[in-house]
Amino acid sequence: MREGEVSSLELLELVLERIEKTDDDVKAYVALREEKARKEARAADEEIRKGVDRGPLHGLPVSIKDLIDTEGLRTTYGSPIFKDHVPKEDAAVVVRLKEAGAVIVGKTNTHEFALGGITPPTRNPYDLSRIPGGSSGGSAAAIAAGSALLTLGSDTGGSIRIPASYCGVVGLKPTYGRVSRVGVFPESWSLDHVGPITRHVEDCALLLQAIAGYDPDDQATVEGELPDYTRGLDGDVEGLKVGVPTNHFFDDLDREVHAAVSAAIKHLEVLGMRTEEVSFPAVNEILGAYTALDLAEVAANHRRIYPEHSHEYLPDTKAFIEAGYLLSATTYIDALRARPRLLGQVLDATRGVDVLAVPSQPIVAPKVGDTVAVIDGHREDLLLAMVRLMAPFNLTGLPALSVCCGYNSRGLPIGLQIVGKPFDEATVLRVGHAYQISTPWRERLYKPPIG
Amino acid sequence: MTENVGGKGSRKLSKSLLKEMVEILHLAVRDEKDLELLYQTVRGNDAFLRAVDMMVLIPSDDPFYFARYLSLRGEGYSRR
Repeated sequence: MREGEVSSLELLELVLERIEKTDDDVKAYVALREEKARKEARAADEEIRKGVDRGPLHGLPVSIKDLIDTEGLRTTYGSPIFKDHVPKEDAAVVVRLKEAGAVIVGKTNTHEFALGGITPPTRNPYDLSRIPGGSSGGSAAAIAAGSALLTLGSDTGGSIRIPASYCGVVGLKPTYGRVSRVGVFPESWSLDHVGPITRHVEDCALLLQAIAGYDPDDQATVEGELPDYTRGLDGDVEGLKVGVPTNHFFDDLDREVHAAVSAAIKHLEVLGMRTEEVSFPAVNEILGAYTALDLAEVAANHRRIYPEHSHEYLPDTKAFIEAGYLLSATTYIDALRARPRLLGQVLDATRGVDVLAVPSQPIVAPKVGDTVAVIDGHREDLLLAMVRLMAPFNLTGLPALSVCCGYNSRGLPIGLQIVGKPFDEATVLRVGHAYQISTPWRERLYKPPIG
Repeated sequence: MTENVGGKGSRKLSKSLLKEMVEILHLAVRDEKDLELLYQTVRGNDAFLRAVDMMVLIPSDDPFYFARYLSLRGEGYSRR
């Protein structure tokens, strides 16, 4: 764009054309703002012609998860209860994107109130009979279908990384406190994160740069200077230590997922990284504390809406909320108290490594209507299967990236999860970028299977 | 030293007990299908919640330390 090879308006028109071509099938979008976006794209082109440079996002189209408020643009949180809701203000992350010159295209579908991993009615562009994952399923599906270049999602128990894995794209859950949640419908204030879902790791770094930082209205965010996430991407990865857990993360995996993730970890060694086995501590306690915090805080967040509108909730969302009402207060308090200790145990156990490498999901994208995951004959509740490799990093707040590491025999994507130290997204992105540019999977993203 | 005694209800949960709880708490679950879904959800979470119940917590296990340890990258955490 700086060299005049392509304009902001041309890029936007390409995205809108792609939405027109794919979205009847994929159903990634719930609202568009074509005319306002065109006006903003023209304004960005004009600014760029005049030499005004707001940074690398200037004039780029971005699509936003429908859980995140956008001023003047319908925001439903995935629920019929909010079908006519038009926020008066942008969420803090949207304000930051606009300040960076981004052009907001529209809203991508979310599972109802982000309380699930299915995201109806969105379908997976790799196989329309399958789900995209969730809850940020619309964002990931739009990236995979080529109907978005850059998107935002949110992640409380994997809602960025699950759909990134199932749709073969890149999703980053930053460290807890790195990105403001102001103006995002809360699932669980102790576990909620906002982050990017994109095609390439570089794009993820660009978006993170724009949305990260202290916000006095979100007390979880931390003050301090931000690193330059894009500048560090091409840094050396040789000698970095990669921890590979010997427990939990490689249990009960689909065989093809296991093979692809193991091959990806070998590839990290080829890139000069050193792998080391680690034992991940207190897995059951971590998943227990996660479950207690999530259920209780979801129930608390919905207590003013749910009693009057319970008939308008999806059955799985209802069960989620009702289970929260049955949780005892003492279990919630103990989960809160246990959390710093569990974080300390994880940091102690991983002190000797720079990142962890684990599978993103135990399975590939399930079929629409599946409620159970069957892994080598073993049956498991689908939501629990989706969450068990993700939630440990929501409870501990550690940054975690999902990047495509291959496809199964049916052509369905598989995700590798790279997890870092607190507030060290830079190393996570560097490892993810080194992996992505040295493997062929990225090229497949240029040939979306539908449309 | 205090032992956590909370959250044990779901361990012995039967569907009829759950039905009673739904009625007492005026929850919105009304038909058998919804009740079954709720029962499976509670049972599915039970094994994890049990692990929290079993933790022996001490007074210095304080929720407010979480953000501090995270921002200090775990430095200053006292091992127990």
